Amino acid sequence: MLKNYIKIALRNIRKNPGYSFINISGLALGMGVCILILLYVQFELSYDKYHDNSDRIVRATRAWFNQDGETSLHLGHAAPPFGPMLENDFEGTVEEMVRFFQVNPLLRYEDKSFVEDRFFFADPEVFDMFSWKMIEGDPATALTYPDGIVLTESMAEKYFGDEDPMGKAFEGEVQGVDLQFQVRGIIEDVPENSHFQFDFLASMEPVVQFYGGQAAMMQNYGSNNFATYLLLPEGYDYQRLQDQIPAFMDRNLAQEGHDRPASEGTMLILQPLTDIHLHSNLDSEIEANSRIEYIYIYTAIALFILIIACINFMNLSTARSVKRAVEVGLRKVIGADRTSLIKQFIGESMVMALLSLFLAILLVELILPFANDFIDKDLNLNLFQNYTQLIGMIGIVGFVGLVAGSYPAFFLSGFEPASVLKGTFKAGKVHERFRSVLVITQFTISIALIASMLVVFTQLNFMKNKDLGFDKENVAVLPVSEQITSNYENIRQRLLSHPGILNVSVASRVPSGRLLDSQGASAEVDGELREIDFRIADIHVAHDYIQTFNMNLVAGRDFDINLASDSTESFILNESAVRTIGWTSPEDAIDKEFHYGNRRGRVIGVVQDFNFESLHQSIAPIVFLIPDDRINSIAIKIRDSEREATLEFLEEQWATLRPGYPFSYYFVQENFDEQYRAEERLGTLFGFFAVLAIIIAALGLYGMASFTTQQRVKEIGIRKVLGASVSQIVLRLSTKFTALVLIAIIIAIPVAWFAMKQWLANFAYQIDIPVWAFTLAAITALLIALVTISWQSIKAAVANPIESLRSE
Amino acid sequence: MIQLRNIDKYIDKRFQRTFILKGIDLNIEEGEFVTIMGPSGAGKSTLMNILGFLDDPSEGEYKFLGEPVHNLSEKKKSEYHKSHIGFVFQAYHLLDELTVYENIEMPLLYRKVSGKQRKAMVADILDRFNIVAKKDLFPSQLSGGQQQVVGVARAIIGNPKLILADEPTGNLHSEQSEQIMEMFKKLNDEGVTIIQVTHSEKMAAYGNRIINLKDGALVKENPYEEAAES
Repeated sequence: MLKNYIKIALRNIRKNPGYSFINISGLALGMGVCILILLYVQFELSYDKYHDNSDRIVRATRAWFNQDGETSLHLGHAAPPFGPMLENDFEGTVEEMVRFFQVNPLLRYEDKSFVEDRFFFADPEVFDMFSWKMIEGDPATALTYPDGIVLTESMAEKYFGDEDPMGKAFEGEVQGVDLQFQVRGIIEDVPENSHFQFDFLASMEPVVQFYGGQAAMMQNYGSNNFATYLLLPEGYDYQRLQDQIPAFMDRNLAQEGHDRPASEGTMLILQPLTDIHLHSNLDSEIEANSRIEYIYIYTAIALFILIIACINFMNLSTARSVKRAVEVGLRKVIGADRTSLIKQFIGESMVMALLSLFLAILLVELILPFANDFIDKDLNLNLFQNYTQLIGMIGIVGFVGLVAGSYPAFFLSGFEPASVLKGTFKAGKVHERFRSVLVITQFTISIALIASMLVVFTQLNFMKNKDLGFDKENVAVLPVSEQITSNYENIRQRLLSHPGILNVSVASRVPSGRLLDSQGASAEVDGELREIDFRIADIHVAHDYIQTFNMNLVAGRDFDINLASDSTESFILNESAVRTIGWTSPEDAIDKEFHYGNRRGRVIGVVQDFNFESLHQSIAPIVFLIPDDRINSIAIKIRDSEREATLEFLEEQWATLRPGYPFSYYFVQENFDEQYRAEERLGTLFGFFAVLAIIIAALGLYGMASFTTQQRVKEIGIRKVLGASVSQIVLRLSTKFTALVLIAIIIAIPVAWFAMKQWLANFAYQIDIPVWAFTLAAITALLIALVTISWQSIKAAVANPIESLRSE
Repeated sequence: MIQLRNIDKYIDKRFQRTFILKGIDLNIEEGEFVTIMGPSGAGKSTLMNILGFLDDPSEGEYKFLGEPVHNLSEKKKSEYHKSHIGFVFQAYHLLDELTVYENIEMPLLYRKVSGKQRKAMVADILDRFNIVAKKDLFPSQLSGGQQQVVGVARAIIGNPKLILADEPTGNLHSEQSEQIMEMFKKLNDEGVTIIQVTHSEKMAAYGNRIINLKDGALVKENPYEEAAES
C-alpha cells in the first residue's frame, strides 16, 4: 500500500511538471532558508557549551548604582581583588577562580614581530576550569612559571613555522614595558563559539608587577579590567551565591564616613558562562556579544518562510482537488476508509517534503559559503556527525509534511463519493475562502518584511548622517606612545607644520568610543557644595580637543594653553552635566566651584551636547579636564583634499614615534558606522527574506491564478462571445486577487508598525516611522501580485473563445 | 439479497419538500440481472447510490443480505464495499497515474491481500478479459471501451456478490457496449448479481428484469413508451 502511495505521488509529480516544479522549488527554497537560519541559531545557542564545566562557571561582573538605585554603569570586568576575595570568602563554594587581563602587546620572535590583540594574561588554574585542549605541555603547570606563555596552534605556526615552539623564548612589549616569555604549552585554536577568542595566554605574574606587587594589586578597586570567572560546585544554583554578595561587598568595601552600605553603590553581578553570548551586553565586554532578541527574530523569520512555503503547497493541492476528488470517491467506493486516505495524502506531502529537502540541502551547500562570508562565521551542514542537525531535518520534513499535507488530507478525504463520481462536482467555491486566507497570510508576511527592511535602513541612514553636534569628518585617530606623550608640544608643532593637518589633540577617549571612566564629583549649587550622586564621565584631553572636533562652546571659554591653572583646576562640562547638576543655564555654571576626583577647581566653559557614543546611547553628562596622564589616543584633523599624502606623512612619523609597531589608525566617522553593523546586517537580512517571501508568495499566486483562470475558461469564452473586451476580462479576473493583497496590506501595516516601534526603542535617537516605507512596501507587493496575475488573465482573455466553448 | 421497503429520498428546501424517490418497494434476489430505466431526473442514480451505501434514504428500510443498512457502521460499509459490491461507472474513473495492472490491483491493496496472491489474481483477471498485453499501459493510452473493460475488471477482482453499474455503456459506441454487456451476462451466469442503469432498450435486454422509474416512483409501464406517446 505504501508503495502504491509513493508510486502515485511520484507519478503525479512526473505528470504535472509545472505544478510540481512550483511546489517542490517553493518548498525547497523555504526549507533551505529555514535550514540556514536554524544552523545559525544552533551555532549561536552553542556558545561556550563545549566546556565540560560550562554549567558550573559564572562570570563576576561589576555594576555601579546612582543614589536612586539605578544602574549607572555595568562592566563585564571587575577589579583584580574581587576574584581572590570571593575565592577566599566562599571557600568550598567557589572552587576555582580565573581572571583574564587583555593587552595588545608587540610580540617578537627572531625577525618576526606582530601586534597581537587577542593576548591575555590569565591565572594558572585556567585549564582546570575551561576545557581548552592542550596539545603539548602540562596544563597544570604551564602558567605557574612567571614567564610562562601558552599559544594556539595557529600562532605556533605563525611565529615558529616548522620549529618546535616548546621552551622557545619570546619577547614582548606591553605598554612600554619589555617582557620575556617562554613557551610552555600549545593548545588547539579556541572554538569559534566562544564568547571571547584568544591566541595567547600568559602567566599573570607580569600584571602583578604592573600593579606594583601583589599587595598593591589587592588594594586596587578602581581598575576594572579583569574578566573574572568562578567555578561553582556541581548542581549549585549560582543565585545562592549571588544572594550572599551584598554582605560580601559591605564587609570588604566598608568606607569610612559613608552611611550608605557599599553594596548600594557597587555590586558584583554573576552571569552564567553560557548566558554571556546572548544575554550580556554590558558597558564593557571582551568581545561584542549577540542578542537573544536577534535569535528570536531569526527563528520567527525561519518559521514564517517555512509557513509561506507550506501555504503554497496547500494552495496548489486544493487547486488540483477536482481531479483528486474523483480519486477519493473511487478509492472510497473500492473500500478505502477515511483514515487510509488521510494517511495517503499526508504520505504524499511527506514524499514531496523529502524531495524538497534534498533540493534544499543542495541549496544550503551552495549558499553556505556566501552566508558564512556575510555573517563572518564558519557554519557547517554536517548531518551524519551532528545529530541535532539530522533530527532538525527530520523535524522540518515532518513539520512540512504534516502542515502542508493536513489541509488536502482532511479536506479531500471528506468528499462524498456519490457527488464526485457523477462528474457534476465543482471544487471552485469550497476552497475559495480558505485559499483567500492563505494568500492573505503570505502577502501579509511579505509586506511586513519589506516594510521592516525599509524602516531598518531608514534608521541606519539616519544614524549615519545625523548631525552629532561636532565634526566627525576626516578625523584620524592614532595610538600614542611614551615618546609622544612625554614630548607632546614639540610633536604637535611638527605635525601641524604639515599642510594636510589642520589640528591635533591627545585625549583619553575620542568620539565613537565609549564613556566608561568616571570619578566622584561635587558641585556648588545654591551657594553650597553638594555631592553629585550620578555619574559624570570624564574625558582627559589636551588643549585643542574642543577645536579639533569643532564642538560648540555655549558659555565660557576653551582651555587656554597660556594659563597654567587650566591644567590643574579648570573644567569644561557639557550641557547635559550642567542640567543634571541643577544649574539653571550654561552661563549660570561658569565659575562655579566643581570638584572631580582629587581635583578641585571651577567650571570655565560649557559645550553644547553632542553624541560622543553611538546613537544607541543617549547623551551622558561629561566633564573635560586636562591631565598629565591617561592619554591613549591622538586625534588628527586632516584636510580632506590631502588625505592620502597626510596619511603617508603620518606613517613616516609614526615609524619613529612608535618604533616596532605597525602603523594603525582609524577614522572617527568609520568607527561610528562600524557600530551600526548589527543594524546593517539585520536590514540586509530583512531584505533578503523579504525578497524570498515575495518570490514564494508570487509563485503560489501564479499557480492559483492559473488554476482559477482555467476553471473560468468557459465563462471567459462566453463573455467574449457576448462582446466583452480583453481589458474588461483581465480586470474581472484580477479584481479578486487584488482585493486579497489589499487586505494583506491592511493587516501587515499595523503589525509591522508595532514591531518596528519596538525595535526603534533600542535607540536613544530614533526616526519617526516613515509612512513612505509602508506605502512603498504595499505598492511593491501589489505590483508584483498584479504582474503575476495578469500574466494568466491576459493569456486567458486573448485566447480564442471557440477553443474553450467547443470542448463541451 | 436486497429488500427495499417504502424508501423515500427528499430534499427539504425552505417550506418545500422535493421528493427524489418516493415509496420505493423492491426485492432483488441473488443472481438476478436487473436493469433500472427511466428518463433523466427520475431518480435512477439516487436509487443506485442508496443501493451502494453511498447515500442514505430519508425514510424507509433497506436490508442488504438480511441486515438493515441504516444500522451499519462506516467501517462495516467499507467492509461491504471491499468484499461484496463492485462499482462500474459511466466515466470509467480509472486512476490516470496508475497502469492497467495497478488499477485492477488497487482494491486488493485495501483488502490487504498478500503480494503473491495479488499477482495471481490480477494475472487471472487480465487473462480472462484478454488484456494481458495492455497491462502496462496507462488509461490515457486506451480507447473508451478498453478503459471500461478495465473498469469492470477492477470491479470484479474482489469477487463481489453484487455489481452496480451506472450507465456503464453511456460513453461507448454500440460494438464496445455489446462487449461490456456480454461480459456482464457471463458474470451473471457465474452467479453475480448485477444492477445496471441504462437508457438503451438494447442494453436492458441483456438483463432478466427491468424496473421502470418515473418521477421517483416505480411504474409498471415502460416510461419511454409513455414519454413517446405524450
